[in-house]
Amino acid sequence: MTLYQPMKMAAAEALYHTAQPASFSLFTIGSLNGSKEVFSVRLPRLLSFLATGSFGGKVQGIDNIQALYAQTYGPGSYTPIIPVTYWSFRLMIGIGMLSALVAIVALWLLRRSRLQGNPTGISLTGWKRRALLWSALALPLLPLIGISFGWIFTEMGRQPWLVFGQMKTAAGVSANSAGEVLASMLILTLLYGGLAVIEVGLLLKYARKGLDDEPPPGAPSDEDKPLELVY
Amino acid sequence: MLHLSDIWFIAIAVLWAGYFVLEGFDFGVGILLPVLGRNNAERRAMINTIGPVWDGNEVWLLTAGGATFAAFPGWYAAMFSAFYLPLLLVLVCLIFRGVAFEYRAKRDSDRWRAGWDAAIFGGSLLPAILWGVAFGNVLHGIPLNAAHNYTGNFFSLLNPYSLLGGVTTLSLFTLNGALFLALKTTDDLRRRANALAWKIGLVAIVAGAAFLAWTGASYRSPGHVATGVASVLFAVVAAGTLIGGVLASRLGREGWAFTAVAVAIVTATGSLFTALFPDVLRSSTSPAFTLTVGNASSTAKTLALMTVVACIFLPFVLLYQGWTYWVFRKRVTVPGGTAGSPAVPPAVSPGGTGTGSSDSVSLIGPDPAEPETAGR
Repeated sequence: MTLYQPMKMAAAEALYHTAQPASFSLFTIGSLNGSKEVFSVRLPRLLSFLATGSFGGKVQGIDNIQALYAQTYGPGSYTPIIPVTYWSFRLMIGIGMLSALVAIVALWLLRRSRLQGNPTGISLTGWKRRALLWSALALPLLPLIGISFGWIFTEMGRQPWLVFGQMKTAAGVSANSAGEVLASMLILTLLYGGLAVIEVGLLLKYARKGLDDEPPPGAPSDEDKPLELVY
Repeated sequence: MLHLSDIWFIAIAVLWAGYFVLEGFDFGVGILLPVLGRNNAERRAMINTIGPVWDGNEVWLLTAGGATFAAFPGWYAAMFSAFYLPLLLVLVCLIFRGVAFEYRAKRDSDRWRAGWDAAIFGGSLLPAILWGVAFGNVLHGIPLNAAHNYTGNFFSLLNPYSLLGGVTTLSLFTLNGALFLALKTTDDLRRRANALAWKIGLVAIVAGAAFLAWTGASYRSPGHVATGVASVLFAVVAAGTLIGGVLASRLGREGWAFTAVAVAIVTATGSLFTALFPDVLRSSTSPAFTLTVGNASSTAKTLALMTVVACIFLPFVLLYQGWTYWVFRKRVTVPGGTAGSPAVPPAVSPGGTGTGSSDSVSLIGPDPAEPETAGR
């Protein structure tokens, strides 16, 4: 990313001026339009290491790259929306690490015991049990949220380019009218929203119903065995 | 000389032909759901005939679209932007239909099932019509300006030729579905599917013959004699096999009927594409704005790469899809059973169909929606 899309790297770190060595931002609050930072908690030299592999490496800043691109590609803004890029990057990394942490905690809790009672293991009780059950709920959802933020970061950080250096997003837009596109967005949002409600309802229904007592049917192995209707 | 772009034009034609045959009977079964399925058990049986295979069949659409996107980006861009709202409609229908297959059995309520049955019916009927309309418009020509952007609206897509195309695909797909049901069900459902196939077949023959004749008369590319003749030949074969298939169905030869109608759909699609060549999307504004194989294709390097990948993976895909059909080749019986009625109409020849009733299966297993009362 540092090599091929330096603006995205700079925006992800809200690094406004080229720095060597560059510090890693833990938490930055910028001005409302994202043009400069107001307050920042930073770890020195760490960004240089993450971006270039050496603690003294140079990382280009947003303002410097903007000036460079204005010269190379013509006048215009080559800066993505900094607050969105910055925060989606943090959220992606943070939620990703959180899911890893939850997974490690869950594994550690299970190192000698099982959730349900069993003759040889120790049953988990109390907070450990609750922690494990909540982790089972969180672990499918957290990576999904983290990945979503990752995609938002990728796409928003590349703006205004559609293909970096070759084609801007404005040049790649189809000739469809705004009404058509809005209609399709509304229809698909409503459709998926409705389906999500139904799906969560079904998930809850089957979760409450609990497990079946009978064993699942195996694959029918010979011609005479009847075929179950699956649908 | 056959360029790579021509080869990919043929490949896309084959993919669309395959799609129309395979998804055709899925749509047909969906359309016939309220017609042939008189109660929940029968409808379940009908859905289970296409249950294992409908998803794989829909993949042919994605492959056709993907091949269009990769090999002819100009065609993809112009066509999909021009058909934005119709394709959105098709997409919504396909989503509803797909979800309906899965969710239908998840709650034991008549209203729930009726709702999803309606989704399956509508989600099969509308795309069946719209695909014919879309391809009719590709041949008829749509208003495209010099930048290959669509300058018409939704209603300029509804011209008589395209609407006839829509009726043709609707009747062909419904016929295909009825014949598939005749192949895959038993007893009363099989008998009624056969009886209905004859009636649908007559409509399909009339619509199909008219559409193919109109295509041959007015919509072949001028100046390209070889493909024009090929188009007419394909159309004749299509008409012949369609008539043969409907007759075979009347005689009770279910396997031959289905095969013949499948061949008819493939050759009809071939007729359309050979009539279209070398255009890919005609402009009714001016022939100079028409997209052709020449000006809409990717570079030779892209096409070469695609050809290599396709040659490696296509055999695998065909193999495993064929294997799915082989695994689920048994006939499906309506749960609760309505044995006793003859499985084929009285005009059956003594030789019967190739598939006897010895490989039919009876149903066991609870309805997945029935709540487990034991152990609660």
